[in-house]
Amino acid sequence: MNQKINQHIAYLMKEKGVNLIISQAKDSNGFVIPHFILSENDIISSVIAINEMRNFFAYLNKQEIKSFKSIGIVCNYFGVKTFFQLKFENQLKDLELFLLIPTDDDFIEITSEKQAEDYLSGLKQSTILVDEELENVKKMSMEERWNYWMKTLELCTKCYACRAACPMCYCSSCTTECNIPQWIPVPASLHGIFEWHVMRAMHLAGRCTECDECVKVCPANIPLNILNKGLHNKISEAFSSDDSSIKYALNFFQPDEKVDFIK
Amino acid sequence: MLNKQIHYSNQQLQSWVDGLIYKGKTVIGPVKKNGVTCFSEIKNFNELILNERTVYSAKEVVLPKYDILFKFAKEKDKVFISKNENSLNNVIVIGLRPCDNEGFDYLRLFFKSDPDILQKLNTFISVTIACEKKFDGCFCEELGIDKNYSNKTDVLIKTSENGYDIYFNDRGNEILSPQASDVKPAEIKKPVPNVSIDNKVAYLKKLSEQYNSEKWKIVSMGCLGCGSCAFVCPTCTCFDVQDEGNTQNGQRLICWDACGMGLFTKHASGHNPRPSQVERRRHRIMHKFVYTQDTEGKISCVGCGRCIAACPAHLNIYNQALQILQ
Amino acid sequence: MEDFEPKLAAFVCNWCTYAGADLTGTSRMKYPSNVRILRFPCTGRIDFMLVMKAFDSGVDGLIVSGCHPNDCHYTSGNFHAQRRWVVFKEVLDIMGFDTRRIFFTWVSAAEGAKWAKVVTDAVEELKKLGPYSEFKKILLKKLQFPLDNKTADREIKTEPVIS
Ligand code: SF4
Ligand code: SF4
Ligand code: SF4
Ligand code: SF4
Ligand code: FES
Repeated sequence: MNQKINQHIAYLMKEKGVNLIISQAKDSNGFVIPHFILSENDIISSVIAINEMRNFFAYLNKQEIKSFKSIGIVCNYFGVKTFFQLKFENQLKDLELFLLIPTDDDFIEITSEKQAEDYLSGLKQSTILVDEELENVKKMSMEERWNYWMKTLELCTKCYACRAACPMCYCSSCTTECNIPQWIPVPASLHGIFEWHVMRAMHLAGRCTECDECVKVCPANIPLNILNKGLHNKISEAFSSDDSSIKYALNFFQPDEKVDFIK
Repeated sequence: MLNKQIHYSNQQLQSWVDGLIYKGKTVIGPVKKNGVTCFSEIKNFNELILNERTVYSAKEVVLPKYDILFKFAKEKDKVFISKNENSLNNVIVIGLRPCDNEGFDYLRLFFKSDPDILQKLNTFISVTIACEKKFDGCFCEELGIDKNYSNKTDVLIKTSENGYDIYFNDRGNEILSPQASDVKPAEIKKPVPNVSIDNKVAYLKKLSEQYNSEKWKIVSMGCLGCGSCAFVCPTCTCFDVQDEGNTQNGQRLICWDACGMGLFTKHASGHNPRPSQVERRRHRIMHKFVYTQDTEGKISCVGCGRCIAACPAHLNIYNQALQILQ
Repeated sequence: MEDFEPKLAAFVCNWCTYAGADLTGTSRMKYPSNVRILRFPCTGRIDFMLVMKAFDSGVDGLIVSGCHPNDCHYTSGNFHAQRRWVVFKEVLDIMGFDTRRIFFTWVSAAEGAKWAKVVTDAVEELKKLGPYSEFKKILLKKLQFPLDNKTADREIKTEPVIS
């Protein structure tokens, strides 16, 4: 990370009692990886473009990491969005977090929900996400879509890396692990895979931050972002034009809502 | 033993493979599906991707992500059981890498008392391609595996001037059925027994002295507990037995499982002897480099680097082992 | 598809639609017998995974019904359900699942006639669409009776009776 951030990290560790910084680095193969700073000796300078950066908030779901209590985390826009959503869902209660967002040769520090909200509304973009793959899928006929997904999903091995890497998948016991009744068939057959993806998409609907971490970690290249973005768009269209007021769309309702397909 | 040799041009290699398919052999090789290179049945030579390492290893051929052991059904007072018999007769797996072969070699040791899987492992004919260059993260050579040679295959393909040198044994002879006049005795340098690898293996075994090291906490920090590393690994064998069905009919399946996942060791009581990623990551590293030295007589990592590429945090299993030993 | 009789399940809430369906019966209105009614406390309780489970167990179509908005016995269960169905239908639509086979309606305890119509229409529609073989294809094939000769000869071992 740049000079200024590194100086600030050293300051946080010395003066603020921060004992872990989850930073980002590139390994020798060019992969962006988490870089854990436990002491000032671990600080390295590395250059990662802001849009190449990953969202490592999933680490905060690990008990071992949580126990550090006071944690700094280097992130970009999606990290802030995740922070905001997790705060709303009451997941960061016992943690003191310092978000460090690199800018050209400086950085922004965010520690509270309020700051995060200001940062996000400053960058407000259209609530409808444009995605080429999503457009393509939407253009297909029903049969084509089904065949497209069956062909794509065939490769999924149900390794659940998409779940592990998702900051919003924080349940300590997942529905996939429940076996009385067995909600999701265990074998990675098309049936089990299909149901897993329906369930994953539903459980993240209205909460997903579109960080695309799930897509980045999937060894089978499953375009999960099509589902994530599709649902995001549907929720923005159907329930509100203002995305930030939704927070968790499936937990709210408007009494005058009408749904055309319910007869 | 690869004792014979023949030379093929690009064209000949292609028509050989296409010929095998034409003759009704099932040819499995690395193909691209949705941008992911993996082993799958091919219908013609041009589908093959021969310049990449596959994301998922070739173990899928014998140990698919889920497999039906048997099906059962009940009618009145009778129960019928139908065993699933999928043999690999007539199957040729092409485009293996030396590491894949080492992986199969380990699987043979591991499944020595499972006749079904052992039979599968010994039936298909393997066609290996020597690696000219290392792929991202490969460290097979560090573990004493020759990326240019494998004596655990039936056919070995090496690129040479204007074409390929093909080395083969008797089983390979069957599928190549070459003209006697083209065949030469193999001129291939046998790998010299590597002394330093024995030292390395002994060195890695010292990991067991570090079982209680504090460093495990640091190396496991990046691990998110998914199953990617185990699912792409050519030597990860763990599976879960599942019954699917209802009171009338159903099936028993084996499905891949992974020691990185929290549920792996969780008891019905709720107690988990490996309560966090520290213990789980330690188990994986120890299993690859130490435990199988005792049970199967060799380390079970073949250095293919697949887990490094697949891991969300790109944790390097070998470097981490060395880091612990430092 | 002349003689195809679709399998149809109905997930209904206890307080309105179930009572409505009861009324249909007591007023001796006729409707197709293809439907298997499952009673839920409230539409808010109908987890979308239960819908998936219905299709897993081989239905060709599904009716989901409860109290009209503002009439829910638990005040807001159906409002939550309504939002959930919008999102769920979108997931299934994006994935190419045939959502024409899921019929969402509101039927109150007094609408016996509406219930008869809902079921009749659903069965008619499903007869047009035929069995949902696309989905059944992805289910793991089970051993089915009668066992055909080929399978029986080659692989089936008769085991002693388990009782
Ligand atoms: S979608 Fe990808 S990451 Fe998720 S379970 Fe399937 S293979 Fe694993
Ligand atoms: S994009 Fe993927 S990883 Fe990111 S929040 Fe959404 S579902 Fe989770
Ligand atoms: S542990 Fe990793 S490098 Fe070693 S054989 Fe398995 S996938 Fe390959
Ligand atoms: S792939 Fe990486 S994150 Fe997943 S279990 Fe293995 S080491 Fe942990
Ligand atoms: S009780 Fe009928 S919908 Fe809630």
